[in-house]
Amino acid sequence: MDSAYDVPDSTDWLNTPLAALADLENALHCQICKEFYDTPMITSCSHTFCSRCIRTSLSADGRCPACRASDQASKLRNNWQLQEVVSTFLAARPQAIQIARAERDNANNARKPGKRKRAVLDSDEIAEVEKGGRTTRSKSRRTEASQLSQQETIEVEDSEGDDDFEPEQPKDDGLVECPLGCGKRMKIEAVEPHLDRCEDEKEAEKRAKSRTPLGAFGGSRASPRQTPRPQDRISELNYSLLKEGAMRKKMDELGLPSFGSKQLMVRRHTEWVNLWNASCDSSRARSKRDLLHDLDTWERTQGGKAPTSSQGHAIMRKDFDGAGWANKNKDDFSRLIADARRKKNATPAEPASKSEGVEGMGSSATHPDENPMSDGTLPQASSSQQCSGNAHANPSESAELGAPTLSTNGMHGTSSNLDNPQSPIQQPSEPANGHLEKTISGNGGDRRRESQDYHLNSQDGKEPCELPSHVATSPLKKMPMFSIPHELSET
Amino acid sequence: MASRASTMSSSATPSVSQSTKAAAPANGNVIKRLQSELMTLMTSPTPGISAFPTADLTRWNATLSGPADTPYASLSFKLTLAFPANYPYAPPEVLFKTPIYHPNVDMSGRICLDILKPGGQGKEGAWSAALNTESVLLSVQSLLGEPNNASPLNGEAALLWDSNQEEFKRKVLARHVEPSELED
Repeated sequence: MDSAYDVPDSTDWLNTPLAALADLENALHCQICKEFYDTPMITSCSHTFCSRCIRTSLSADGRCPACRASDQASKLRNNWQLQEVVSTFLAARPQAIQIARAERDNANNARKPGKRKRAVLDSDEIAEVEKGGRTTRSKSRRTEASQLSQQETIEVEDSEGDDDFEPEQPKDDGLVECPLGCGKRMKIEAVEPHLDRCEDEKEAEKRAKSRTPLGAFGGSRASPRQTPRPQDRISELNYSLLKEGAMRKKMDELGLPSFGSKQLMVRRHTEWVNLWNASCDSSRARSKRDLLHDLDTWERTQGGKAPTSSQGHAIMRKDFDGAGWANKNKDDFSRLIADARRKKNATPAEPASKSEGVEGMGSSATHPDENPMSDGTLPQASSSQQCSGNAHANPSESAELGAPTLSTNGMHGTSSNLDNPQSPIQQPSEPANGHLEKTISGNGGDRRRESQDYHLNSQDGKEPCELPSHVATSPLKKMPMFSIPHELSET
Repeated sequence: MASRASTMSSSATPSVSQSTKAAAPANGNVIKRLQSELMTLMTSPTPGISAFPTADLTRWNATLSGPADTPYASLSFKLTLAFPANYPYAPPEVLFKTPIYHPNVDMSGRICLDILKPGGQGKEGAWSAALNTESVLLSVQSLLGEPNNASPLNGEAALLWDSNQEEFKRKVLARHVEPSELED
């Protein structure tokens, strides 16, 4: 096994004589982050999680993740005993795993017949054997100082004594050195948090050198008995009472970034409160700079600077905000409509019974003067229609958007966002288009088709239609949804 | 921080390091948690369930086998899981990729299941940060055998489940496509 890949994991114990320790190790993991408890806090329902984990979780839904009892962050209490257990287990782990692995390797070797003799020996004895071998081979160099051959044997012991030995490490404590070169040695999982505060710690170390000697476990969660820096916990604000300006001022006072909408600032502040209080919970409080760094990480992954790549998926959500989407993309929609009109003017009065892909665009172009879509005075319902109409004109999106519209019809109580705007149109239409209704397959759920029938029908009744009659009466012909608001404004 | 985190983790775990590099913008904590979930899934697999990340560690493909003694017995289903940036504080988005006829799954594969909805005041969702990929897939699997006909997404299937199991099973088989035949 390559030592560089040696990440502590409960599965390390499997296949060793100490397999039962895997469960012990799992029991010392937080159920939220699945790591060893970091500043464990106990809830009022007596479940324990890392401070930051449970604080974030409570601010998301206010309930204990284990039993769903409602709880508040202010009721959390430190679980010092558990913290002690975790840190002592972590301190004992490297040795224990080393012994367990050596034991397993011995057992494996014992099963191979050719190596029986070697397998009986423990690693020290192997080293002795090697030492003897090397010394004989170096007979020619006997004149050299015995000091040298002594050094050579030590090398041999390092590289061959134990498979799990980490050759680049002079000490066998299973710790790694800080990559930034501060000289500290720590558990590998402590390296990452340490990197963030390496500089700070160097400062603190200088100040407190006489009091806190660097132990074997000089990493982040090393000293649970250190007196915590007196820091006051802060509480979440009553966000609903704060206007955007006041909120921004509050953020500035705290020295936090104050860009973005109120909603974003509220989320940022909540995150800050969790970070800050988790640091207060910890026996080793972190500097504000350090916490701000974490907040920046949050900003880049979940906050205002987060990539919004899930946009394509959002359109499939049941709670998809059609009206908001339409408003946001209004420019694009208007441009597409304008393009369509221009195209129509360029190739006038072409019978619009062509291919599937262009029909949305094409037929909206056949009624340029009747289509009021591009102005800013659309009612809510129509902007939602505008949205779906446009998606329909785009072949790649039409499948996605079409699916929720069709599948959610009347079947699921919470799912009719996209359908609702149509219902006022559809209802008056039903008595009027009886003759068309017969030609349709009779699927009551297909509202899109009904509304377009109404469109056809009302045009027959009220205005001379430009379309050839075989197109207008064909039940297979899909009409664009752009045209619906026109009917709305008329009726 | 993000770059540090990814270099740290890519030097750390051999099995998942390649996927970590692809998922550059994702939060280090999310990646870490997903890595340990993956580790658990790989070392102690649950029968009937498998899941593995795509090139992006926050998007997984999963396979379920239908529970025995249900109309879905001996069928297998492909699903996708998309983990949000604030996972595990918000549920993953789980979709059936294999067409399935089920009262609580709609025609585009979306699943109506309480634990897949975020919880909180005034919301009926039951997602909890202590749940994981394995428990989500197990819940979906048991949903196959025990649909919640009180709030169906597919009303016809809900009625049929209660009235005519024979016909229900026929429709299930008619709609099912073995994942191997699905081109993706």
